[in-house]
Amino acid sequence: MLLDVPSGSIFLLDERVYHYLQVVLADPSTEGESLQRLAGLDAQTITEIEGELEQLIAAGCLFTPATQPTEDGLALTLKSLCLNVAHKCNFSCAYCFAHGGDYHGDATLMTQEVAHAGIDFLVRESGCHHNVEVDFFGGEPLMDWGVVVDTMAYARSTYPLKKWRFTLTTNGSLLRDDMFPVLEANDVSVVLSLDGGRRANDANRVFKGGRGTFDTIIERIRHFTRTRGEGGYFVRGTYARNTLAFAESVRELHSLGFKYISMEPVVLSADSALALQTSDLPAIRAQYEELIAYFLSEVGSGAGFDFFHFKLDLEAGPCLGKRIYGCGAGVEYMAVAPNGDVFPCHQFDGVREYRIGNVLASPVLDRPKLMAEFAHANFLFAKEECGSCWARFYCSGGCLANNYAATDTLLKPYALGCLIQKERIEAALTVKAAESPENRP
Amino acid sequence: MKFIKVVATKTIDVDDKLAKSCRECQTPCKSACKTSSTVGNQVCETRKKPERFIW
Repeated sequence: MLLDVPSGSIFLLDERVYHYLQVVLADPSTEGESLQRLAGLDAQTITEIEGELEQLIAAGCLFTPATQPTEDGLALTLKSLCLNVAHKCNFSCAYCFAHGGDYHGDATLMTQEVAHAGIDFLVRESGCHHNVEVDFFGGEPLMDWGVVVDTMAYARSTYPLKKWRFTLTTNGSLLRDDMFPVLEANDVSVVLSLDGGRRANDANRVFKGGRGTFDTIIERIRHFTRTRGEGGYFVRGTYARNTLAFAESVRELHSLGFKYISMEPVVLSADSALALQTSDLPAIRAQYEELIAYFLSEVGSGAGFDFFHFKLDLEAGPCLGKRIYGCGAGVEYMAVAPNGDVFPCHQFDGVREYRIGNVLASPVLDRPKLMAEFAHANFLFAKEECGSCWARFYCSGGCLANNYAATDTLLKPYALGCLIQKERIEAALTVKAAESPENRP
Repeated sequence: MKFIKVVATKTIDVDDKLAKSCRECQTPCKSACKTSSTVGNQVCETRKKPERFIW
């Protein structure tokens, strides 16, 4: 497979083109008999290959010049808010970045007053953005269900000209039937945390007392997902060092009836027993290969499902202007703790030196210098390693919180995360190539 | 073509809105992931077909 990075054009190469390009790219001056010998091709074949390559170059699809736009400090404005409505959880998952839900602080719930102030702040800062997003997160946000419901109603009734898009991430244990119509009426995209079958899930997702959670939540989650419209949920798992066989976990989730599935690598400090290590990469690659085979066979048999990593829209993907700024943390996206403190994103919640304001204060934001650092760190080319990386327009420079956790700086990418991300993108491109009409017999 | 199969061309909109995105699309981290920037998995807000749910 060949990816033209600047244009995003994707090609499948005959083995002969591959050999030809290997020789020519290693030394562009190679030609004639020397080229024939090194590539193992005859003169006629080389002429034909060069003709095809020239067609693609002339069409602007191959060897396109690298684009490096300049940074625009005003490109990003707030449009997305994570309301951490519960610094509290009834689970005690072994890999939780939020320290069992309390973010290393008191177990508290967000009040209506703070939630409303968060909505007001979002609307004020978002200016003329039409689409605004609110994510109910925690901890376990269903512990503060009343505030979730009230906040959606407040946002819609107070600011009807905005297009509100709500998401909610839950462990599923507190889902009740009376919640379903509310989630449905508000078009809430629901992320359900579940790591696979009983064994994989209960390896890390446990109640406070250590008991596995699978048996308690599975029927609740299945019941909920059966009631949802197409695309209304994602079952999102985490794989860690003790649950590396994520292809099996995805198969289990699919066999449980789930159609929208995501499986993400755990992010922990390197000294944690559950943290992924560089030595795990071959296993991760093997898992992706296994998953690709399963995914394609299920799609082929008509029992297909959505796997989030494989969702690459080659027709209507994001524009370049979107791809050169990252996740938006600290500028376009912020998180609010139950006491109103504002952080650059949910993963920074509780990190005191990264508190950037409070929604109950006036002005809300009081760390302009730190916010400027985040604005700069969001720019893809501000990170030296990213400028020449082939995956740069798919990850936009990665997760700033992960960078910070792994390297103590926002501007240095989390190296292992980059390697895993590349495996993921390669797998997605492989699926796209396999699904391409060009590749069908 | 005989030697090269074209899966997709110009999947990145380079010419239009260069560095001037309307930015009405979803924030990458707020997807089904929440642990990495998943811009490659997103869609353009102005070109995609309207959907109830966002990912």
